[in-house]
Parts: sequence; structure tokens; C-alpha cells
Amino acid sequence: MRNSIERKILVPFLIIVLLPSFIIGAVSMWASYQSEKQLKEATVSETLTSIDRYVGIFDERVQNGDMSERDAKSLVKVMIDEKVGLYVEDEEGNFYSGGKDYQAEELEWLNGNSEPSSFVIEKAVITEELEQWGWKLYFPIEFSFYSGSLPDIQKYTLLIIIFMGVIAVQFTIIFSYHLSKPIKNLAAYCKRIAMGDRGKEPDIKTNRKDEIGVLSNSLQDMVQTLDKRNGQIEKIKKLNETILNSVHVGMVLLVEGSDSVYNEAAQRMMDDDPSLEKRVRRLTVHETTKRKEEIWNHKHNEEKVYYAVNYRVIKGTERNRSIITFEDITNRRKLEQRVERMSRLASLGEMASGIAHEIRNPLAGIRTTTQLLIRRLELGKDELALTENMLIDIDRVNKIITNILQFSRPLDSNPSFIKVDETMRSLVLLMEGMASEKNVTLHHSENGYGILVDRDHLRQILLNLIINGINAMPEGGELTLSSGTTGDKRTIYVSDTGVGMEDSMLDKIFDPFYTTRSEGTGLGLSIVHQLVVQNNGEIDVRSTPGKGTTFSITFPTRKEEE
Amino acid sequence: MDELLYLGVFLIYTIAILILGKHGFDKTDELRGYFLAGRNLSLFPSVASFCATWFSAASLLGLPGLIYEGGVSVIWTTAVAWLLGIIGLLFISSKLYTYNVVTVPEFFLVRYDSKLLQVWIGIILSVSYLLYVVIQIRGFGIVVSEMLEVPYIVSVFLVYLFVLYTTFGGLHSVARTDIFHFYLILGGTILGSLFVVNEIGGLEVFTSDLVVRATRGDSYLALFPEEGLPFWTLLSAFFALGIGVAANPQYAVRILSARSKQIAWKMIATSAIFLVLIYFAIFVIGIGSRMINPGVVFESTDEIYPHVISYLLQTPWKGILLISVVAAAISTANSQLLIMASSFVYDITLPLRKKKSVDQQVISWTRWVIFMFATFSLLIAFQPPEGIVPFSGHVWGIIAVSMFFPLYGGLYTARSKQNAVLSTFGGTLAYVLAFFLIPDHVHPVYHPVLPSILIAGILYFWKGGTHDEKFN
Ligand SMILES: Nc1ncnc2c1ncn2[C@@H]1O[C@H](COP(=O)(O)OP(=O)(O)O)[C@@H](O)[C@H]1O
Ligand SMILES: [Mg+2]
Repeated sequence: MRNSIERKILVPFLIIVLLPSFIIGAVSMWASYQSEKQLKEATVSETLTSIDRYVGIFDERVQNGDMSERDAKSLVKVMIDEKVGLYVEDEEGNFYSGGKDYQAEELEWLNGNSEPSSFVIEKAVITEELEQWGWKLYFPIEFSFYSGSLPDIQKYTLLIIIFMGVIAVQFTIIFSYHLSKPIKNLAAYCKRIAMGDRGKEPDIKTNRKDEIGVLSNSLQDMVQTLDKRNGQIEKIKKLNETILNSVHVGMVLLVEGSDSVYNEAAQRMMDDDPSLEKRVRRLTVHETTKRKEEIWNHKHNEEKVYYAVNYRVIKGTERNRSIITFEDITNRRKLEQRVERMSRLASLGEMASGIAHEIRNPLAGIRTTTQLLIRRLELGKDELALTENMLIDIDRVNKIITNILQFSRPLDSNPSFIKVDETMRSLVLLMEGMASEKNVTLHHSENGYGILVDRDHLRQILLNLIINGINAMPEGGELTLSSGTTGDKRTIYVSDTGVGMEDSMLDKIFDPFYTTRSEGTGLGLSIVHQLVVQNNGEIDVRSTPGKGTTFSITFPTRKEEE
Repeated sequence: MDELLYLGVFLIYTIAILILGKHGFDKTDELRGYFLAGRNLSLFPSVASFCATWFSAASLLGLPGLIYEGGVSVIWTTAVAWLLGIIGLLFISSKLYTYNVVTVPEFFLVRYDSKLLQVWIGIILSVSYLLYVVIQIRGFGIVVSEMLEVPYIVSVFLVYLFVLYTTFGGLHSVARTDIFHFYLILGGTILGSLFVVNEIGGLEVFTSDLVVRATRGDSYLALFPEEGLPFWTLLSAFFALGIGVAANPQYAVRILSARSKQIAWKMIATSAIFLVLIYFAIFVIGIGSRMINPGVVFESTDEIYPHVISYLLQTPWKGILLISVVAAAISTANSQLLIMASSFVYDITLPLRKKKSVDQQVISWTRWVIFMFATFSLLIAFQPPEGIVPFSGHVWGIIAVSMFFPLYGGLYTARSKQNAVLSTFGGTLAYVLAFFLIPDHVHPVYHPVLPSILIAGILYFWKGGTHDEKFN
């Protein structure tokens, strides 16, 4: 941690603490060095002056004739001998010290060959002229910090300075540690929060009253409130998400220039239905501004599916966004269709039965009259054949009328618990002959289901569907009777591998008189529908042109409680 | 000139400790970090810390002196006896490691479920280590006053600077500085032996001289003393020192602070090698000093080595030899202070207070206790009362009788709390009685540890005790 607060406290304080002690140390060293030096110089020059004084006295005596010059000079030399390090140059330039003669070249301090004064060693030569004799005294001296008595004098100062320094450093370290520790702890705490880890509280005494205590407490409070808020937000978010994801309406948020967001329902629906996905993905924000709602339909798994799609552009944001919702309305659509069909068939049936009633009585009259006329008129063979035809056609019309009446005013139904397998088996037996004539093979599978339905009605329904199926396979094929279960309802499937039907045709086949066969009446499926509805059932059809058709009829297994 | 050199060495040492010791301050947020360095020391720091703690001022100052005085045969009652303890440590290292405890007395709480034992062992450790720290401070004072030519009172006071500072940083600081101390001790003893050999005139002269003296039958060089090595002396040394080392929490803590039990084991094995090496160097120093000058006048054997360094050796590196003694004293003193303070705070005051405390507060409290103990031992060290130094030898004996059976037995047998309590109290009581009943001058032969450890053992395995269900 190069930039830690501890270092920021530590370094300046160390400097503040150490610098003065160094300076004090250096100054006191310097001062005692100086005084030592002065002392030394003073003693040396005092020695020199005293010799000078002696030379003056001796010279006076020589002048007075009390003493010979030789004696005087040798006396002075003896004095010089006694002072170690004192040199004398006589009038001829010869050097003398400590009882020895020296040549000028030998003396380094004189020639300046010696190392010059440096920081640690200072050198000087103190001189004194003895004018009377033309002599000169030299006293070379050296000073250094570590020689002589200096270390002894200074040792305690030095030690005290060093150890006061050390103590100061240690106190500084401990002090800066104590000062920065809680801040570091707080920083670590903040870091933990930033990383999303709420585990520990900061390692700071809770009863601290200073700024750090305030900081730590308010930080903790802050984190607590934040946590609370976050919790609330999280809750709301969860709620919203649950709502969004549990509705059955697919929702897509389109954002210009970035990915769209889908809710779970949208995702699921798109996964189920690739063509829906394709259409949804193609949408752009721009496109959604053009319209408000529409209905999509396309085939999915051979069945027509319907979606109600809504568009809404969200305003007030810098980026264009829009929300699309879509809902699978296939089932609603079917229901509507069924209701519509039923009402249509009902009104058609009423009309047909009215017509049939109106026609039946006059037709009966026509028939009796015709028979009467045949009997009364002596008719030739050809005429007789024509009248016979008339009767046949009248009978045909009569039959249609009967059918219409049956369709419009059906018999009461007596639902009872019927075993599906038995009915299927007997019908297959019944139809086998006709089927094999037309090259059709019949299959049926048994599941042991029972349903609540009028036995005769069920027979008629299935018979009609089987005949339709056989008719749809002029080239032969396979007709399968099977059954399945959804909840407490059972479904019977009648599927063929015949010509199949277009979507547009599927809307019409239940209409009375709708037929594509020359000898058909177009009433078969109308009656089937009627009977199914009468027995509380539902009918559905799926068909692919060229592949085949499947009719499914669903009946309850027990009485609906009202 | 020497003085300035010494001062320089001392200054460098001080700066190094300042820098190294600071490290621990950053890492001591919780007790486990403070007392056990987070139980995360790798092999080398563990070894260094183990060895640095092992060599105290007593071994670095006292042992060369003893050898100087008594000759080679002192090996039996010193180095060999101490090293025997290491076998015990090797033995328990992995078992002890599995206990998740912060201090050694806490082990007794966990193993025997006895607060009484924890507090009792805490008291034993606080008191006995106090005496031992006094010896370290004394050693430090002797050497530093020799080095800096300051009065003993002043030099003893300087110990504050090092001991408090390193101990305040917890085991992290202690271990970090111990690496440095270990280098100093290893380097110091080896250098010392080399200098001594060199002073005699080189390795050849040294060995040939040895051979001459040995063949001459110099009693001084005999591996066994002339009068023979009394069985009881050996046994006393073995029980007092060997068992004392084996049960010493100072080393148990090193086992606990290692990163894994494998590392703990390796630490002891590796340390043993270094210990033998250093002991060898110390023997060379002791014997060589005698060969240089057999006539050193001394008041206590502790003064011999510093004297040899100061007056008999001519080398500018002498400062390192002296500072290595300082290193030994400091490294032992700080870990002992830490154990003392941890025992006092963690094992005596916390269990008795019963109130839960925050780690940070416990650590601050521990630092105060360290300060208190250091001051207390310092005061004693200023003017050691008559007899305290010889008495400190009994520290090992008391540790042996009070802790050996509960610790080793606790790890390897199923004896119950009752036995452990009986053993530790009975053993200690027996020791005190034996201490007063056996006259002082026969202690080296018939040490009080002999009867008392026997009693501690018997009480521990006494059948009347119940077995601990945990182990059945
Ligand atoms: N299984 C089928 N496959 C193909 N088309 C069929 C099938 N069943 C009925 N149809 C169509 O529905 C029309 C109406 O049938 P329906 O009401 O039974 O009258 P009809 O059978 O008298 O024509 C038929 O003419 C035929 O075109
Ligand atoms: Mg040590």
C-alpha cells in the first residue's frame, strides 16, 4: 500500500522527528569540535609565543653579553625538542624537530604534498617568526571528528540522540499505526461493501466519540438504510418480475440499437412456435409506430393459430423504445367460431324446418294426387315410367325433408355411460364390407374409455364420419378410429388418409347442404354437429389437403354439475 | 575506533528491527493473527523463529562461559539434554497441530474441558517466563554495556526499544524479526568460532594443538569428566532440561503457528540440524577461548564471552558477535513476553471475566500487559535479587512437572481431567517441597525434578481416575 494514509502520516512525522535530532546532534558535534579545535590552536600558539618570549629574553641577554648566542640557541632547541610535533626552520633553511634534522623536501605538510584538508580531517600549520634570529617555528596540526578525545566527549550526546531518535521513531510508528488503523479498517469495510459482502462490521470500537467513530457509525447506519431500501426495491422488483413472468401475455421491449427484452411467456411462446419467433424478431421500433394492433395467424403443427398483437411506443426517453404484447387467441377464436357456427346452424335449421313443414303437406298432396292420377288414367308404358320417376323424386324430396326435420328438431337424447370400444368394434364390423369394396382398411385402437352419451346418437355420429372418410378416399387408404383423454373428458378421433380440405372449406363443411359430392346431401356433418352439441360434446377438425383429415369429438365422462 | 564501530553495528541492528518489526502492525486484526501469525508461517520463517527462540542469552552467553570453565564434558548437561527435548516435540507436533487453539493453556481447556487447568497453566507460564525474561534482559544489558561502554543500568533500559516494539506487532513481527535474528545468531556463532580459530593461528594449529592437548590427557578436553559422569546428574539434566524443553509452550506455539502439520514437523527436524551446527560453533568458541587465554578473571561465567570478544579477538567484525548475543536475547525475550502476556490475558483474565470481548480490544489489552510485564522484568533486571539467576534454572523443572504429563498424556492417552489436575498440582507441590528439602549444592546431582516428575507421572496414570469418554 504505497499510498496508504499510514505512510502519509509516518513519513512527514519521521522527518519532523529525525531532522531536529540530526541537526541538534550535528550542531553539538560541530560546536564541541570547534571548541576543541580552538582549544588546541590556543595551546599551540601559546607554546609558540612563549618560545618567542624566551627567545626575546635570551636575545637580550646575548646582547648584554650575559650569554653566548650558541648557548641561547641550544637552550631554545632543547625547548623545541620537548614539544612533539614542533618544527623550527633556522636562518639557513634547515629544519629541526625532536632532536633530528630534516630537509625541507621531507616535510609533507610544508610542501603541500600531503592530502589537503577534507571534510573529516582538517589540517593547519601554525607559525611564529623568531625575528631576532631569523628563525621560524612551525606546528602542523590535524583535527578530525573521530580522533582524539572527541568521541569520548560526544559519546553520550550521540547515544542519547540516537536513542531518543529511535524512541521517537517507534512512537511515530505506533502513533501512525493507531491513527491510521481505524481508517484502514473503515476503508476495508467500504471495500467489502463495494464488493457486495456485508458479512462483518468494521473493526472499530462502537463507543468511539471522535470523527472516526461518527464516520463509522453513520456509515453503518447508511449501509443499514441502504440495505433496507435495497430489500424493498428487491421485493418490488421480484413482484414485478413474477407478474411479468406469470402472465400468459407475451411481452417484448424493443430498444433501438440494443437487444430486445422478452418476458417468460414471450420466450415460451416463441420457443413453441418458430414462425411466431420469426415474425417477432423481424419487428423494429420504427415499424411499431405505424400501427396499434393486429391479428396474426399462421399454421403451426397443421393447425391454424391466432395471436392478438398490440404495439405501444414508449415516449419520454432519449432512445426510442416500444413495447409489444401478444396473446395466443387461438382457443378464443375457436370458441367464437363454434358459437357462431352453432347460431348459424340453428337459424338455418329453423328456416329449413319451416320450409320443410310448408313443403311436406303440399308434397303429400302431390304424392296422393299423383298416385290417384296413375290409377285413374290409363297410361301407356312410357308415361307410366315417367310417373314412376315423379314418385321417386317426390320420395326423395320427402326423405330430405325428413332429414331436415330430424336435423332441426332432433330426437331427445338419453345419455348413458357407454363403453367406447364396444361401439367402435360393432361399427367396424358393420362397415368392413363397404370399406373393403373401396379398398379402405379400417383400424381401431381400444383404450377402455367410457363416456356419457346417447348410444344411438354416438353410432350415428361415428357412422357419418366413417362414411365421409371412406368417401374421401376414392383411391383407397386407411381409416383409423382411436381415442385419447384430456382431464375428465375423452376424445374419439376419426382420421383418414384421404384428399383433405383447404382451410376455407373447413369453415363451411358443417353448414347444411354444403357438399362437394354429386350424390351428397350436405346434411351429414350438420347432423353430426347437431348431435354432438346435443350430447354436450365438442367437435373439431384438422385437415391437410392431399394428406388427410382428422375429426375429433370430445364427450364428458360424467354429468356436469350445474 | 571500536566504539564507533560497535555503535554503527548497533545502529544498523536498530534500524533493521524498526523496519522489520513494523510489518506485524499491519497484520494484527484478530487474536489468531496476533498470537499465532494466523497459523500460516511457512517452513523457513518457522525454522528461523524456532532457532532464534531456542538460543537465548543464556545459551549464547552462558554456554561458552560454561565450556570455558568446565570443558567439553558440559555437553551432557547442556546441549545434549536440551536436544533430547526436540525428540519429544517431533513426536507431538502433528497431534498437537490438529487442536484449534490460540494459546497452549487453551489446549488444556479443550482437551480436558477444564478451566481450572487453563488458568493454572496460564499462571505457571506467566510467572516462570517472567523470570526467564529477566535473564534475557540481563544478557542484553551485559552485552550492550560492553558494546557501547555505557553503564549496565542504561543498557538494560535500552531493551525496551527492541522487546516492546517487536512484541507489540504480535507473532507476525516476532517471526519477521526472528528471521533476521536467526541469521545473526547463525552468522555470529560461526564467525565467532572462525575468529577464535584464526586467533589461535588457523585451523591447522587449532587441530594439532587439540590433538596435543588431548593426547596429553588434558581433563579439560575429555568428553567425560575424570571423576565420571554421575548417573543422577545426567538424569537430573535430562528431566529438568530435556522434559522442560519438550513441554515448553515456546516451542508448542511454533508448532501451532506453522502453516500445516507437515511444515510443523519439518520445522523441528530442520531446526535440529541448525541447532547442532550452532552448538558445535559454540563449543569451538568455548574451547578456543580457553586455548587463547586460560586465565580470564570473571565474576560470572556470563562475562567470559563478551570479554573474549572485546579483548582477545582482533577483528573489526567483533560487533557482529556481540550483536548476535543481543539477537538471541531479544528473540527469546519477545516470544516469551508474548506467551506470558497471552497466558495472562487469554488464559487468566478472559476466562475469569467471562465477558466476551472484541479481538481488537483483547489485542490492545495484551499490549498493555506486555508493557507491564516488560517493565516489571526490567525492574527486576536492574538489580536482580540474590539467587534469582540460579533459581531461574528451575523454570524448566517447574514447566516439566506441571505440563509434561498433561500435555503429552493428553495427546496420547485417554486420561481424564481429574488425573491431569492431580498430576499438575501434585507435581508442582512435590517440586516445591523437594526444592526446599534437597540442599542447594546437591541440586545438580539430585535435582528436585527427579522425585516430582515421578509423582506427577504416577498421579497422571493413577487408576482411580476415570477415562475420558471422548477417547473411548
Ligand atoms: N373425411 C373427409 N375428407 C374430405 N372431405 C370431407 C370429409 N368429410 C366431409 N368432407 C367434405 O365435407 C362435405 C360435407 O360432408 P357432409 O356434410 O357429410 O355431406 P355429404 O357427405 O353428403 O357431402 C363433403 O362433401 C366433403 O367435401
Ligand atoms: Mg533467542
